[in-house]
Amino acid sequence: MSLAIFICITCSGSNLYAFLFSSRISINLKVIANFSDQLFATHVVIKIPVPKNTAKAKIKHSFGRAKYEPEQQAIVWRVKRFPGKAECHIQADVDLMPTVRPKPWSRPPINAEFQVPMFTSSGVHVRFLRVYDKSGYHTNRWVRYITKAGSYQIRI
Amino acid sequence: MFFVAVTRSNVNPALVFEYLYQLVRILKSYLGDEFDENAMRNNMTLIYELMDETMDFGYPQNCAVDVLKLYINLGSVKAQDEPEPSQLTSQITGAIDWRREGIRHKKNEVYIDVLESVNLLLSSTGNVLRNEVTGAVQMNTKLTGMPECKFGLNDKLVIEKEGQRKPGVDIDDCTFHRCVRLGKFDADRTITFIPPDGEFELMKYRVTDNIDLPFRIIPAVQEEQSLTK
Repeated sequence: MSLAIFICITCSGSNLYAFLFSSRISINLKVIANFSDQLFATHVVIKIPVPKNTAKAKIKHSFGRAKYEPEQQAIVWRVKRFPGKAECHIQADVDLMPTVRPKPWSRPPINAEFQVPMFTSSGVHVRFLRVYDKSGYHTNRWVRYITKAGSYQIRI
Repeated sequence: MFFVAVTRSNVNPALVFEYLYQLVRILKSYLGDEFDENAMRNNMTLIYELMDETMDFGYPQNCAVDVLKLYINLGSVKAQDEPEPSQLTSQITGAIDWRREGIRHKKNEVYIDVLESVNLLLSSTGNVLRNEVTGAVQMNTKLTGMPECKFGLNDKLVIEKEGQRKPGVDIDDCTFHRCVRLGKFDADRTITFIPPDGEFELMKYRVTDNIDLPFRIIPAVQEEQSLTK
């Protein structure tokens, strides 16, 4: 798309050219998995909001898939399997469409979604489950843990 | 579809909501998860009977699906086995209405799921504005008879009382399934119960201190503006 757009305003016979504001946003994001390297997170989705008038976004990232999704007004980065202790950088250069009046961007927070099996954020774990019955049978027990993101937001 | 309750007196709203949620849960188990208006119309007599059983003179009564299924079995639900009439009365009036007697399983198994959800709000300068974990302990029990269960978490108060060195977790508040003996929990913080058969949510809790954040996200955002002519 051509950025050279002129707006002609005729005012008392003379032509004035209005200035157009075009701008860029550069985003650098570091994501560190803070849990044991024996574990991994699944369904990791990180949404980095960008302004409405985003023209294109150049994204560099070390793993997973990232792309600009206009309907979400965000750069959405998805990782199916995020190993523990791993670190990932994501770098995006966002070009904005020129506007006549620069509108301040509300800067909504970055949103993260994830699931970490066999991990508890609070550190809660099951110490025991005892089952007493008259017949005194043996009971098999299985315990699973999973931590999910509720509302996990980082303001920018 | 909306479920609406009307009342003539000033009742506890939590009670009304709880009853409505229970009713929806019961209807789901009778009519299927995706029941609609048509299903309700077609099963009018069943629903009438269910409401008659779950609510008496404006007071919620027995809302346990397992027990209701024993004697209300119109429609698609089949009774698992015919209970003795004498047992039935003790079921309806008895203290333990969430479990019937004479359950048999070949293998005695318990599945415990601890589900946690982390909430975090960081400011742009990296300060923590809100951080808490809400958790739930889901159980699936396949146990024979009327077993007495004792459940233990690494709750800080219990661990300190037992004099163990290991650090415990400071659990802020918790709610329990009604099978848990609350008196016993209040007295010495042990969780004892006779579990219902099958899936249920044993407890919910909330933790706000010493939370291990699974992900650290460090953003740096720069806006550049330039003028074009």
